[in-house]
Amino acid sequence: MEILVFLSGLIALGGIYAMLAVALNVNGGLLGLWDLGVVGYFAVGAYSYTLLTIEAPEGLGLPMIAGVIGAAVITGLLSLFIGYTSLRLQNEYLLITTFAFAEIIRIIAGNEAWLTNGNIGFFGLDKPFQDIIPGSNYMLFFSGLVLLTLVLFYIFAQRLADSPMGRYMRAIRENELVTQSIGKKIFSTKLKVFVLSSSMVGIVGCFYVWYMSIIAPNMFTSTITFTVWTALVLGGIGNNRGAVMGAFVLILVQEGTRFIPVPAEYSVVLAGLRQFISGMMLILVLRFLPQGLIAEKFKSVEKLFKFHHNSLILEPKGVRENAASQGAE
Amino acid sequence: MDYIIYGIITGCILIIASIGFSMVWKTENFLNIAHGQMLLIGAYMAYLFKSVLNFPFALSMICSVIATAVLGLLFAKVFYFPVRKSGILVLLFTSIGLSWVIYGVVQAIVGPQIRTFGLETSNMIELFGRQLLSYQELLIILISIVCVIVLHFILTKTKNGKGFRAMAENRDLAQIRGINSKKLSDYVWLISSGLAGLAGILLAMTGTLNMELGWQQILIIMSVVIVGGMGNLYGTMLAALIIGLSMDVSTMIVPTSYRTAIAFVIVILVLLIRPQGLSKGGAH
Repeated sequence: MEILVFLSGLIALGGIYAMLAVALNVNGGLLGLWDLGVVGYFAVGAYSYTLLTIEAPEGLGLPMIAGVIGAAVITGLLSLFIGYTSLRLQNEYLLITTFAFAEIIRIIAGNEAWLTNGNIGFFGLDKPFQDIIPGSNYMLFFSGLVLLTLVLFYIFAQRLADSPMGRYMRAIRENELVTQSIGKKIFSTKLKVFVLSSSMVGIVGCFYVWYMSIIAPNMFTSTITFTVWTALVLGGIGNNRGAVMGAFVLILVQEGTRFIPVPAEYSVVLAGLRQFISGMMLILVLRFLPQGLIAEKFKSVEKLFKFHHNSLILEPKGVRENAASQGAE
Repeated sequence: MDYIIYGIITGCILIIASIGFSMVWKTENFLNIAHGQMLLIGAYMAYLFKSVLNFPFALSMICSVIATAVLGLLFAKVFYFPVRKSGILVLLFTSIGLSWVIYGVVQAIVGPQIRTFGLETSNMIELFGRQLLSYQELLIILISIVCVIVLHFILTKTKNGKGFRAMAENRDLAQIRGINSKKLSDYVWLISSGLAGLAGILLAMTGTLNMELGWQQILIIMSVVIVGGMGNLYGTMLAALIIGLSMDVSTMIVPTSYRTAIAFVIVILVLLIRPQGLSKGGAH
């Protein structure tokens, strides 16, 4: 039973990161935006959910489902503002601006005590269906809920990637000028996708609140952003399956070692070792599999219309340059 | 007045920390996130020499700077050079991976407790009848001025410095003109990491040594470099002073915990108004 609870906790956390990675893949992978602000939308989603659902005087005491929708809407509105101001910038500049916004959000969350209860945050928050499911089985149920939502996220992202919009997004990623020259609106597409992806991250924020049952500013450090990006790069940028797999592998390595029984004096060494392994994994994957564990595949038009039986056009097998090798010149 | 002094000190440390980052960005064209962790290495190396091996502080500073410089070059050779061909995004993520590796190793060795160099508090210098700054703080300012002057001299007067500037503008052209870009980029990594180590030591002198030092500083360093204009060294110096000053002076008006947020607000404003940075060095 112990091991089951532990495993389901691991799956729940892995699933949360996998959802984040899928959401990030929509704008970071398909559209090629260098967005280091993931943790910012994550925090905004989590905080808006908490403030909407918690009882007065701190919050509004709305039902949970309203909280989740509210989290998505508020995160979307905020990212509309962030995106509108920063999406005109390119690569490194966008990266630093989104990073800066995320840090500002965290600092605000830590200081505006009237709104967020400062560094203490809120604790003992309610979880969905808490009354029906007995406490000992709750984690099991919760991991199921996470996996179900992950499947929904995955299907949505996959449909998006296969749609004309998805092809168009990849076109922007591969060559913005050419895409512009065939009469596509670059900026408004970027903004739309950015807001969509951020709202998805905002929804995941609710799950994180349920998982932790507390909320505090120090839960939302830039480490989360780096972890999600690492997961995405490990699995393969631009590929939803890769995003899910990368997240689970990374969480398994990071959290799995947490439960190796060691004497207390070595626990710090182990914590360091965990960071070391994650970093080494990232370096080695980039070195030997620059496209990640699963390379991005295209459903080409030929394949869609079953032309490939008699077509001379062959799919290149994993030799294509993807976003990871952009700008190599 | 105190705030201005603090601001200048913060700015001076930032100058040393960001010049190296800026140099690497200019020659290698990627954001070296692991630069923040080189600060961490420098600070803990100095602690190792000072408190464990009982060297005098000045000597342990020099040893630490040299050790960090060599380590930085080693890291670059082992981790960055082999993936150079794969493009800047791979380099960027390799540097994030390297940050985690360094962070993990340092954490495993030193543990979680917060340390200080244990320097005795020095006397204050009095000027016009009021206490202005301590000798340690004066030392920080002097060191950074010396660094800036030496760097300026190297960049404008020596052959390698001129080669560096040529390589930063156009690597291929510089190579065609017979500049040994391999040797030069070794020098760049040495200088950049050494400066990072030095900045780490100075930073730990003003406060404490803690594990988060690297992650905290890299954000501010990136802000400085962006505000200063991409890879422009003199713009970077100016930006470091401006951001250092505004971070500390702003604490008169807003709560102290918003200190770093000020730096980020400046970056966002600068990027929105003048995407090329303060000075127009950033030829893209």
